[in-house]
Amino acid sequence: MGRIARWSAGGIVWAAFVGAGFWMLLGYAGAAGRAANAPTRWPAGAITTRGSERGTLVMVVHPHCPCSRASLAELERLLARNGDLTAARVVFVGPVGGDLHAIAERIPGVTSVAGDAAEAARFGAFTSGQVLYYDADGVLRFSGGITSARGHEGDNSARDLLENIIRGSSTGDGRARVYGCPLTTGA
Amino acid sequence: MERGGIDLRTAELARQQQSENHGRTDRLFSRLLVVEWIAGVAVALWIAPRTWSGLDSRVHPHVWAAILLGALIVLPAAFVARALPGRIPTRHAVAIAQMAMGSLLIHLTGGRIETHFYIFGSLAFLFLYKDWQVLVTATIIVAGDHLLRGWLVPESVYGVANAPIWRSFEHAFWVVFEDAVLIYACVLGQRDVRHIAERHALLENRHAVEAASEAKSQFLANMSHEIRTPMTAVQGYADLLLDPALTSSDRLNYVQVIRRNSEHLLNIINDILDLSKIEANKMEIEAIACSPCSVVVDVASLMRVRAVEKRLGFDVRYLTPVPEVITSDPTRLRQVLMNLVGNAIKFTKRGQVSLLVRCDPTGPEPRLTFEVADTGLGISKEGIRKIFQPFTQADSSTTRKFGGTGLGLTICQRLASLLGGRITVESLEGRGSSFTLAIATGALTGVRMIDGLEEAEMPTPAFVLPQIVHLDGKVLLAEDGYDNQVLISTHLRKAGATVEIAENGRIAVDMATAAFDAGAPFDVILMDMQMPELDGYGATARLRSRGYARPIIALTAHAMAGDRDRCIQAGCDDYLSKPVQRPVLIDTVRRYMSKVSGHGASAPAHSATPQSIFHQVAAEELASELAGDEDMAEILASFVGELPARVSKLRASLDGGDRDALRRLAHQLKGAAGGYGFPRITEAAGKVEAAIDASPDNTLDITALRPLVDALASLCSRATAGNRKAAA
Repeated sequence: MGRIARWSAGGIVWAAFVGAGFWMLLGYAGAAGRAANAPTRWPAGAITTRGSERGTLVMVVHPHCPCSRASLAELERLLARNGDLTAARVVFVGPVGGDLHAIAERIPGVTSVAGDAAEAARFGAFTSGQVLYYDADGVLRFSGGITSARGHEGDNSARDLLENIIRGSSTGDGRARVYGCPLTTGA
Repeated sequence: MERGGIDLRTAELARQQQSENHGRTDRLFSRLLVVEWIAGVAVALWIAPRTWSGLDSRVHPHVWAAILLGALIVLPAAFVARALPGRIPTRHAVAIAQMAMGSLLIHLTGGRIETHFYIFGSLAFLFLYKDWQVLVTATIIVAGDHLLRGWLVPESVYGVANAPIWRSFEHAFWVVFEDAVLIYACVLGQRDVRHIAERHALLENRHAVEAASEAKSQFLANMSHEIRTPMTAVQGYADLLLDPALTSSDRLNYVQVIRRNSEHLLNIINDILDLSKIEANKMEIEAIACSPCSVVVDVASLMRVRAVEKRLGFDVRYLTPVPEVITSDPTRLRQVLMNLVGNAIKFTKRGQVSLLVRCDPTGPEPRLTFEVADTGLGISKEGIRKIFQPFTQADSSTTRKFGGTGLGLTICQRLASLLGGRITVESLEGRGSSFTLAIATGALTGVRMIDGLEEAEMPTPAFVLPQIVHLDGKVLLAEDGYDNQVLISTHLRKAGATVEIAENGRIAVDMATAAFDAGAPFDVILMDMQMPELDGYGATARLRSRGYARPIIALTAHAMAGDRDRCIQAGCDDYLSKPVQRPVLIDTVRRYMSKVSGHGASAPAHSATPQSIFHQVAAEELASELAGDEDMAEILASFVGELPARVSKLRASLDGGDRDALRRLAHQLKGAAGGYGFPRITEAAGKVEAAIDASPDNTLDITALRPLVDALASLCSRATAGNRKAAA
């Protein structure tokens, strides 16, 4: 086998392995979590409070989920443009600790809520980063995540959809896949 | 160096510079890629050390990806960059790894827009190669990644499933924009490298020209010294000879000094002329049937005396059967071998010089190989590279220490090439050298191969034959130079010939014609070919046109092979080159005298074959090379007459175990015999002396010495017998 052939063969094998590695990584990033079974109206008995005269955005977050750092970053971008149109609650469900509490509290307009599994269940949420948007009448308008993959920031269609709903430029309901850690073991 | 040469050197230097840069950048990337790998693992551990499921947690897949996928990307490229720096595939592998690592880092940091800048940083890093093709490879990786992911998982690139096509172009534009800038910078950088290389090439050329000029100046200085030294001796001793009060012994000594120095001077001039002829492609090589054994014997007989004087062993060995006759130029072959053996002796302080002869008669081009091996100084690798270059010796101090023109090996290598072969060298500093001359032999079909040759069986050169030649006839010497008139006529008259002299060609024609008409023609005419009024060519042609059929022998200072043909074409029967060697002159004249009258030959005729020459040598007699020289006869007889007494003393010292006396006697004999024309006695005495010196202090190995003393005694007895016969 000539030198060029050896280099080519080696290069192809190498590229194949690297490509396979990236493919597996993309597969992990693109694996959506379990979608929420959210009540169509604001759940009675929720410890999370609704916003007055405005719609209310609820994001349920596992306090240690690294993927939700991207969800909070997208939430911050969303609220930066639409903070006056909606109230925002970030409900932490899971073991205490982590830096996501602090990140959430730094976002203007966000009220951080120390929740529990029961609160998550009231909103039917199973996956960290789950966003629910209830309009001023308490009707569910959006359910899903606002990132395009696990832990990946950046423009994405789910966030755009939610933004349109909040602004009233979209009258329908929104559904999107959610990317993040399971809120409870086995979820 | 001409412009083309400078351009080639410029290109070579530019390539060298780029190669160094590529290797340096490869090594840099081999470290940088590993650092990136470690940084990727650190980033993964910092951002997403664990993934959670309720209350449970485990190591985040990003950490494993950073470790395993990072290693997969980095390590092969870092390895080839370390192991094979400078190769084209290496830097392309590095480019692929660098861009893939950027992609992994973007992924590990959650697709942060800031991490995308890493791609542009990577392109800038890769610019260090100053190879635009590397940038193209890197860009292809970026484009391929975007296209593939944009097609399969568009959200992972653009965030939306249906990204407009212009976003792909927008992404591509910025990468291509940077590429365009960097590629332009690459082109400019390569131009700069070429400019710098050109300046270096010009500088090198200037240094080379200066070095060549310096070498020529040094050569001229050496030549000036080499020529002036013998010339000064010749002039000085010639002046001394004018003193009428000189004793005959002093006079003899002075003449010997003049002769020795003039021979040396002639060698130098011959070297310069030879090189000039070779450089001008004017060197003509004969292709005649000749005996390689005769050439070897000639060389050995002359070189042995030098070796013995330096207390060196010298031997000739025939490792295979050798052809009786080959087709070559014996003069040039002899010249090359003399030079190689002479050098070996010159540069060997102690030990042995050997001339090994072997022949490979097989194949379409049979070759004869002469290996001259010594135990001398040896030559460094750098020296070997230089020794065949003109004007150069292995070491500039060599000329000062050992003399010589620095042209000998240059000439030899060129002559070897003209003889259809070459000279190769193997050497170890301090251990010795081996110069191997291989020449073409011509077809050997039907040529007898002589097997089992011993050096002692080789034919003895014609000019040392123990014969006293007496010329009986008339010679007309046509020669315009006074010195040569006197010299040549003296040689001929002392040999018994009657000599008349003509000042130029016209007079020679008149005298030859008159003598012929008078019924007393000259037996031989020696015709100098360069004379005023009518030169030798014209005179010979005129004589032949008048029907003059007697021998005319040309004399000329031009030693080119073509001159012989020119003289023969002009009508001459034979050719002698100046300076004329007395034995050759006498022998040639004798041969032609015997042809015309039969009375010129008072010595046996020579045959061309080595075997017949060999059979003429009487085994019992050893003649002096000076035999026949009347001026030397008296002192030669005295020396030879003392030999039996010396031998008796040698034997008595040996029997009595008198180490000092034996050594002194051997040393005296060694020093004296060569001067009386007995180089073999000098050699034998030298062996006795060397054997005594080799034994431990104050001891004498009589058993080992006896055969050497016997051999020396035998030679002395043969010399005595030979001299007695010559006197008779």
